[in-house]
Amino acid sequence: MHSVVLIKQVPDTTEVRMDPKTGTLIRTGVPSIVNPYDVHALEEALALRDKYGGRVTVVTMGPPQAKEALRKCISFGADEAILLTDRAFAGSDTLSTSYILTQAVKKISEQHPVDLVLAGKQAIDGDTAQVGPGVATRLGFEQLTYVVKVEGVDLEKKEITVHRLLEEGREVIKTKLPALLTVVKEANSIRYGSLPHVMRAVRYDPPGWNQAFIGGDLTKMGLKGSPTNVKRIFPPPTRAPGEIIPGGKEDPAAAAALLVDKLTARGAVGGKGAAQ
Amino acid sequence: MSGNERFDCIVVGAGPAGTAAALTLARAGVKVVLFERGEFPGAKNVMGGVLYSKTLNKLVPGFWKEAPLERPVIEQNLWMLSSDSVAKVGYRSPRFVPGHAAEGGVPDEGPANAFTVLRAKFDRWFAQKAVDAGALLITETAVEDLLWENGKVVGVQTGRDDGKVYADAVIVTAGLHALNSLIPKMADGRLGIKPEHVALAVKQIIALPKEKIEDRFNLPAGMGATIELVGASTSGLTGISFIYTNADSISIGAGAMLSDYVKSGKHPYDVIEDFKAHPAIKPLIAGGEVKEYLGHLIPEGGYNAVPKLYGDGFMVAGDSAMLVNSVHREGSNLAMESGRLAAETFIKAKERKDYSARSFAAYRDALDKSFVLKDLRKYRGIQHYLDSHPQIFLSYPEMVSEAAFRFLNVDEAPKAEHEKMMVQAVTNRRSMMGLLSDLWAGWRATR
Amino acid sequence: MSVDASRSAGGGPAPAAAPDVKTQAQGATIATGTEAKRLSIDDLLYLIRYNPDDRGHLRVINDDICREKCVKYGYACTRFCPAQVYKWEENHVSVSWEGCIECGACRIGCPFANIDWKYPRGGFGVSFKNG
Ligand SMILES: Cc1cc2nc3c(=O)[nH]c(=O)nc-3n(C[C@H](O)[C@H](O)[C@H](O)COP(=O)(O)OP(=O)(O)OC[C@H]3O[C@@H](n4cnc5c(N)ncnc54)[C@H](O)[C@@H]3O)c2cc1C
Ligand code: SF4
Ligand code: SF4
Repeated sequence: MHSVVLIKQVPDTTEVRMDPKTGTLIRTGVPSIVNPYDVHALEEALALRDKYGGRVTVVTMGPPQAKEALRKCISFGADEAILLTDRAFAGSDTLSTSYILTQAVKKISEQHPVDLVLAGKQAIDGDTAQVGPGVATRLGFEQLTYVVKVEGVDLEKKEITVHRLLEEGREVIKTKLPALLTVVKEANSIRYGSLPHVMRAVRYDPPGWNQAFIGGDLTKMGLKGSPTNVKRIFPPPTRAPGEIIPGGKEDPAAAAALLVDKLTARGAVGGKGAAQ
Repeated sequence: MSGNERFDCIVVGAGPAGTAAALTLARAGVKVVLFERGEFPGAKNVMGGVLYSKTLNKLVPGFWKEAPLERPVIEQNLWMLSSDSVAKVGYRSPRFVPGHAAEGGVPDEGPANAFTVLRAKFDRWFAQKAVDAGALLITETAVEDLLWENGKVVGVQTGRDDGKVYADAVIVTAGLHALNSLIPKMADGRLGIKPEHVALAVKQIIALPKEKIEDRFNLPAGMGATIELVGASTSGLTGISFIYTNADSISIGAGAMLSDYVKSGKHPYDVIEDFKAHPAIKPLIAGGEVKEYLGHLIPEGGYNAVPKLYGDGFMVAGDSAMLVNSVHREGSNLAMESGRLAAETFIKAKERKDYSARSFAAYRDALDKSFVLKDLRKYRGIQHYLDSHPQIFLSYPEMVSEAAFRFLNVDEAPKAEHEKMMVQAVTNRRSMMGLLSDLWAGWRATR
Repeated sequence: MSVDASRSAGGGPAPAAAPDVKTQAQGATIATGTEAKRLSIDDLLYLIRYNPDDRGHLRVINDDICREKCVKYGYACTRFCPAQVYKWEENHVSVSWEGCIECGACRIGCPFANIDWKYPRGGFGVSFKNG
């Protein structure tokens, strides 16, 4: 069972502040982390390896600094972690990124055929949730998003059964391998890497793969391959805070009366508007 | 796998002491691993922020040209705060900052006497020096215990699976709390830190534009000042507060004996907020944005609290050995020096292949001869002194304020009268000689 | 009393031994008006970066000791802990270990050695940006 995990290095958004004047994100001095959802995808892959054997390969596209994120994945126990880095990749949007990652997965398959690709549900710095599905489509893999549990894998039949977290509840699906899963946080809790893994990570130098190595159509990569246009980034308009009516526990009748008064005053209930 | 990997030496904790040790060992070709529990070296570390150059320059000559330093210190001050006033003593000299007085560029002449630093940045840089020299730095990994065999330390147990690592010796530089967790098992049992042995310090980083800092502290461009304060700055607790200028922020903090905190029931965050609101302090930080809130303990036990410094297979350095010059300001340099000396002792022991207590006794000798224990011995009485002279912290600042006010207030009384009143204001409460000797010793103690 | 009840966010009575000093600095905050807002402990904790673990590293060993012996200290840890990790809740001390800044004051300062104190696991806990 060979799993490939797609990860992204992102700024720790809990530390990112927005410049209220320009509307842009202030990223200077903000520490980088592995996209939290991706860590859950990695954990799922490692758990599958624990259960069914095989290997786990991690891939990211990014600048050389992203090696730090890859080392982090090695410290949890991944077997290999590859950096896709090339000028030609710079400025990629989700369309182009999924193309480049697809090329990489194909390349990885040449050595060790890939049974499963995993990614986080979305990246916290863009929240698009497009890259995983994009890769699945290009690879022609079955696509299972919002996976909250992997029920099991049938290695003989080449089948996987997963639970998907949907708004209405859970959906249990069985499908053919190879497949691509995007994983939610509720799927698992992250393991604490063993000391040998942590020590290996410190010394690990992730192999860097460039455009020439993974091949593919140059016009589909980087700025050229990225039709997305960001028109404007802006914070959502601040809404007036809600109001909590106090005293509901002690004197529910009075609180209810107060609520009705307030709503009436706004024309939300009673009066002509609401009666119709 | 590497879990069974053997090292020559294990260093526990990448603060100034541990990094100095690992750097020295790695340079001598010793196979050394440096464990740090933080996300990176410095992530857990707090100090006021004055780093003395001399010790570091021995380890990294020319460090000031590349280290992340805040400002070279050109001026040092001692302020005594009364409830609404302040008496100031200070000294500024270009001799503190050779070469730096020339505007712009990095001076070649030599480091300033001291620099302000922020530890999260500084420690990270410093640890990288050890890594560059060949030390293996393992972060996010806590050492939970020492491994013993036949009464000898033979390695460490980390908090991870397959977490044992073995070596010829272990240097413990894990800060103050090693004293109660790692070391009691090897020391003579007289340990156990008491609330009287530590100060609890809280600190804030307040961002201010460079120019504002230079205006408010009357500083030449790029230069820094330090202010230590006693009196109303710690809400009646025994302690010292500080204000240090960074490149574009101010470090402001208050440290008081933990025993006083326990007795008084005060909240540290109230103490620092009260301090910031003092009429003499408020204008210095006005308009600044608070960026971070931090807290840490400072070992204050002094010479008499120094634990056993070595044994079969181990040595202890830095805060773990209580090597802090009692009154707040010197710790990082003692840590570096002791870490370096422990490493040098190990290097000599390695030649003899003898890692026994007898072999490591040379570490104690080296410390005895260095400024580390010489200074601590010199101030050995200071803890007792401060305990028996609480007025230094409490009533003196009020007295000095009273005396200064009478002397400087223009009310048409003849000047001779003023002097007499001033003397009275002071001698009403303490004898003149007592005052002078208290102040002299007190001032010396903070230096 | 130096311990202003309105600000004893940690809860519990003031310790009997508290000296009767009211510093004027406290008075000064009242007069400062709007421009330099006095920060509450919640404001301050909000500024800190944490890597929270999924398990606690601090534990009060015996609630009876707090209840029976520590009243005279005003439940010491609820007062001196710089991160207000401990709060008195009716009949015991609650422990919000997620906010701990790992100073270790409670380990040394609890008058009855009633706190089982450890650092969080390596890599977790507070991660200072400046230090
Ligand atoms: C508020 C304050 C102001 C100060 N001001 C000054 C000043 O202005 N100038 C000055 O020179 N000194 C000052 N000091 C003192 C100075 O900070 C210390 O003396 C110095 O940091 C000691 O260095 P160290 O390496 O021994 O310990 P530390 O700096 O405490 O380093 C110990 C390291 O070990 C790590 N560690 C701890 N336990 C473990 C474990 N079990 N496993 C792995 N790693 C572990 C820690 O994360 C840390 O990185 C101040 C201290 C404080 C608290
Ligand atoms: S200080 Fe100790 S005894 Fe007192 S309330 Fe806290 S845990 Fe309990
Ligand atoms: S270690 Fe410090 S911050 Fe953490 S709970 Fe104890 S006193 Fe509070």
